[in-house]
Amino acid sequence: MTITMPPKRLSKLALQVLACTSCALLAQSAQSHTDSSPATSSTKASTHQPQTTVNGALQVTYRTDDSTSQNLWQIPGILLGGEAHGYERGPALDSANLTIRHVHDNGLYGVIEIGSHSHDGEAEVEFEEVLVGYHLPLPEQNATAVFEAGHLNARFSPFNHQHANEKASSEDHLAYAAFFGGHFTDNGLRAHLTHDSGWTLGIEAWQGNEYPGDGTHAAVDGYVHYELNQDKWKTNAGIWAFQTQSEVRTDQRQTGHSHGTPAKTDTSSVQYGGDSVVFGAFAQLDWNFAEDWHWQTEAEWLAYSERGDIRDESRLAGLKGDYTAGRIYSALRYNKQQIGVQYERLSLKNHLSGSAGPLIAASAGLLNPGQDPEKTTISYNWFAHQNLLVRLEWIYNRTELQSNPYAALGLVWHSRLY
Amino acid sequence: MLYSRLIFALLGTVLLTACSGGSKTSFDAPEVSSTGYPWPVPSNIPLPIEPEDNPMSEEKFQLGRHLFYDNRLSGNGSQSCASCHHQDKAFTDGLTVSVGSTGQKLARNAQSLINVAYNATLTWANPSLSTLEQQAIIPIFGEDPVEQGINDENRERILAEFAADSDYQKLFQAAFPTQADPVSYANIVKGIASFVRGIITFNSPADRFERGDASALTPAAQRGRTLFFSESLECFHCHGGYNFSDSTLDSATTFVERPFHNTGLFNINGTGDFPEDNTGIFEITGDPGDMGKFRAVSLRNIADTAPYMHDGSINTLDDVIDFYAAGGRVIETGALAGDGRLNPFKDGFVSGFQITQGEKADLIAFLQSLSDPEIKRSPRFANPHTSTQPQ
Repeated sequence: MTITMPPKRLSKLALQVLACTSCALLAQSAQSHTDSSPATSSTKASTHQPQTTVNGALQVTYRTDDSTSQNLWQIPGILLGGEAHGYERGPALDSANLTIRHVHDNGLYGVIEIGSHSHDGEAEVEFEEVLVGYHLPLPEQNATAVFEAGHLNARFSPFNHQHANEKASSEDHLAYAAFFGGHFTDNGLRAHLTHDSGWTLGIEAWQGNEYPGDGTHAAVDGYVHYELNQDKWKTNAGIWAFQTQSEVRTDQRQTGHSHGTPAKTDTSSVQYGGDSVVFGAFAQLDWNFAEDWHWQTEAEWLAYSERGDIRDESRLAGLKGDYTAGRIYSALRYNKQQIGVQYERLSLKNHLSGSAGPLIAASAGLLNPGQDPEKTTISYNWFAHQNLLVRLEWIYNRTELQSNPYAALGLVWHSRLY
Repeated sequence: MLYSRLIFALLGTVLLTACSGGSKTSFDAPEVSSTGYPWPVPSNIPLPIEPEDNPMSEEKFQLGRHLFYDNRLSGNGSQSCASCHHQDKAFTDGLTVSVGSTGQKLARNAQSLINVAYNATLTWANPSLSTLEQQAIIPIFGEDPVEQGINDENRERILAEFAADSDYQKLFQAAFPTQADPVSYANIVKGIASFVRGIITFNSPADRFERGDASALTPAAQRGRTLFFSESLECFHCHGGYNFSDSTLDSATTFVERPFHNTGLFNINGTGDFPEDNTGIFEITGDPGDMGKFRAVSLRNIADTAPYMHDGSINTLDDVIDFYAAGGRVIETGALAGDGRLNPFKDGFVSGFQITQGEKADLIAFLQSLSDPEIKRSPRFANPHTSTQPQ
């Protein structure tokens, strides 16, 4: 859900936002010691005390090189879409979020989250979430039911839409960039049931407007999560499944058209029609193994299948795509210092049937020479203030099959503003 | 914490096994799209369509080559297909418009035959002419204009000459081994169509560049390539794709398009008209909106096929670029006077552009890189009646 905003030059915007951030940080620094986490929708809506809160979060990053060698990021071997994008050299506003949440005393609540991010030198403002929810305690069952409707971030995995200060890296997870165009957000309904034992069952139904859908069919997902917090351990694990269908899905990141020769990848004229099914499993662990020492690790595995056909103006080929993605992150934190390593990898298997297969695979960017796209991120985080994180990263990006290491220096700020 | 350790162990195992070294792109077995004819086509290019009633064979190709260069295949014995399609001119004739065997001037410029196997339609402006077999009949038997001039009066005599020729007896027999009496006009047409269908090249410097040989194009040609595929010049819209024409059909094509374009060459009296004898597909459809629409030819070996346009009215590539840069042609005086830039039926992509002399030179360098010099001298496509060793 995008709202109109005149495009601004990236660096100018980043500097403006940075200036605003600095002011806000100074203003809030003395009084914002009570809320160090960003507001999320359902997880923070469990109280029935009437309350309105406003939270802000911001991430700006300076990168020493472009993450992609082309104008448009194209991982060889998979159709991309949504908001999947590479990262540009120089300063960038990775994300800016303002979240307004009101909880009514009868269990009703509403959330509006406005977000902005920039790429290709332009910034746009979006309603990340606009929802109303109802929180229903079920004391006899030792459980809580939550119902939400509106424009929602999917909750099948906690990694689908993390705020900047929650993420292991300044950049989108590779799996979500490749499979969901960054993250999955759509108009829909959500119901989930959380038991006091830590189990959560959830189901979400979507209009299917957003990638990997195309608005012609609904989407649905379901998930089972288990969360267990003990004295020094915090764990969260889950499995989930997502399904949608499309008929004429295009890569809407592009506005151009076929530039001719088959060797030139230009997916703008390619349409995919068929099923898209994703299965996922994840686990998170935070272990406070000694005073001021934390070991944090995350792992996630996604399996994505596409069964359908791809076509351009004059050709049609059957597509059977089987893709898997894995990510593992581990970090060691001592007091305000944290060092982390993240490794992400995709395995992209395509089989195209029909005589148009080779030609349309070339034009659609589905040719993979047998090398798994991968990305390694080594990060150093300094929690300079409870609202401010300084992040230094070295990123070795081989998603286009060529090594492209670069460094990134970023600031992540978040605070409760009201 | 047993659960957590188990979960991590399981997930780690899955990650390591499921996400390592598996990427690949595969296709149906090659035999699905292969034929009995050894097409000289790279793997990334689909094969041409072979008509069900005339599948390609080397024997038919060789029969067709002999017929293509044989002047006996004309009413007065003076002209063959090759008379208007010279191999050394990339199978054009270098004339503004071609001349038939009786001296009658044709209305249009002879087109190159290179890669016409991939044409969605044949000739300059006929949406219904979609196979080489259909097309070959026109120059052989056409009466207006007369090209090769075979008619009811001479057809039996000419056929008898071929039937009596021992070399042709062998060629026809080899090409159509199951037929008891293979010397026929139907098989002559099939043979010629097979030869023309086999005039294939994907070995120009531009082709090699697209296949990954960065040194195949000069820096100037690379700059020209960028211009060619740019939105400012718009060339690729009508001359894109592997055959540099939007009117392309192959064995992988599912949705057939047969586009035609009015480029603003004329606008007689400001009504959009073209010369009466050359109105494009309007001659076929009768639709006023089709006035002046012609097929976008392939640009392969375009540097060898001057003069240009359907009427041969532009002499050089330099002038062609000037014409498109102007967005059409202005004819100030005479019966054809009119501002082609304002032709109401003109294609939207012919909107004009700014180009410097340097850019024009770069663009021409790229257009020149579309030529495969080998096809102009290859013995395989040469006149067998003068060649000692047919390939």
